[in-house]
Amino acid sequence: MEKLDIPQGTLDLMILTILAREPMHGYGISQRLAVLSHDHFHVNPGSLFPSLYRLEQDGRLKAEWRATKNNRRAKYYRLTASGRRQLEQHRERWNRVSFAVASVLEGA
Amino acid sequence: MTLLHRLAFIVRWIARRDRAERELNDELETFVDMAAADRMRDGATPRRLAVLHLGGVEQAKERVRTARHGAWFDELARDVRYALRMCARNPGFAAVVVATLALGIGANTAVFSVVDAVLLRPLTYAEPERLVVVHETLPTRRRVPVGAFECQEWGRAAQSFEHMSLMAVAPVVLTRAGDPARLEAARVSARLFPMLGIEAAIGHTFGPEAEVLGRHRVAVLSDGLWRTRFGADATIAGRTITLNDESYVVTGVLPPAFRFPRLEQRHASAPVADGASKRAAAR
Repeated sequence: MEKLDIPQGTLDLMILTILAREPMHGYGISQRLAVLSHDHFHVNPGSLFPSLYRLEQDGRLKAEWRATKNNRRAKYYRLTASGRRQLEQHRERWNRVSFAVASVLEGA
Repeated sequence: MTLLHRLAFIVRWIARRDRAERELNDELETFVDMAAADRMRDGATPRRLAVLHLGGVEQAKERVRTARHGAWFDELARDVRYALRMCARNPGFAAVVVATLALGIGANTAVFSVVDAVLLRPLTYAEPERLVVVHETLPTRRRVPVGAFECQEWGRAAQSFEHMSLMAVAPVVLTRAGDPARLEAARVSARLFPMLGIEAAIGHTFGPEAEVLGRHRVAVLSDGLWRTRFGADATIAGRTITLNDESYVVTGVLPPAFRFPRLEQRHASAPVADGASKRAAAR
């Protein structure tokens, strides 16, 4: 199946949403994204990591090195309070955008 | 909060660049290893995995480096290094460029300082827009000094001016206060200071009585003179100083910001009085 491009600006929202459930490392996020999007979205590391670093720098995420289930070391990201606020704002805006777009398409 | 956070992040990147690079490297290695393990399970060939690895990782690292805050700092450092290398390679050319810049900047600064002081800054006197300088001109000589008598008469007759004050600059010799020193000095009308809106920082300037012959041996010191020659003595008012072998009583010290046109920072001023004034003005 052909992969979809991730729409501009929604990657941050999806990363925050995924991390709101539990802290996760970069690969875990990319896998979760694929599963949750029913394989429509496949994020490559060249997009994922810049986003993660930006969110971390802006204080939305906090990162720490931890052992994985398979006993590897990986950098886990978790949401900060500021990240949680950002997520709520983002999600609210996204709901309005998608509702608006859907309304236009159905009305046309 | 966010700004502080960003700043801390930039500082951390700069201070611990090696460590940050290593962490970025480790993180992407982990990512690739995990992805490879998953795909092996799904039956991908090692060759395909290697291609995947090379393509994605370096690009991802570069994008992280440019995405993070403070990336401009690295670029700046790179540019500066490049510039220095180029200067070292062509020292002659670099010297010419540096000299040209130095001359250009120097000349600009000098011109601007003059323009700023002369044209841009208002005079540091009260109501500077109402101040004018009056000269007397003769057909044969362009400008001649104004005498005290003329000044008095003009002041009486003129309708357009509130006050007219005289100021005559003449060097004097200060003695009996350490080594003898040649000073800049001005004879002024007693009203000059009130006219300019200047009040003494210590003591007072001249009252009208200072123009009366016999009571005119008084002087006001500039802040610079007071500090360098009189040790910033706060009780100086009332003390006697000797200028040109004549005794003057110091009535006050002017504020540090006060400047006389055409006089350096260290100066003394004494009132123009009938007898003395003619000499000073005719200098």
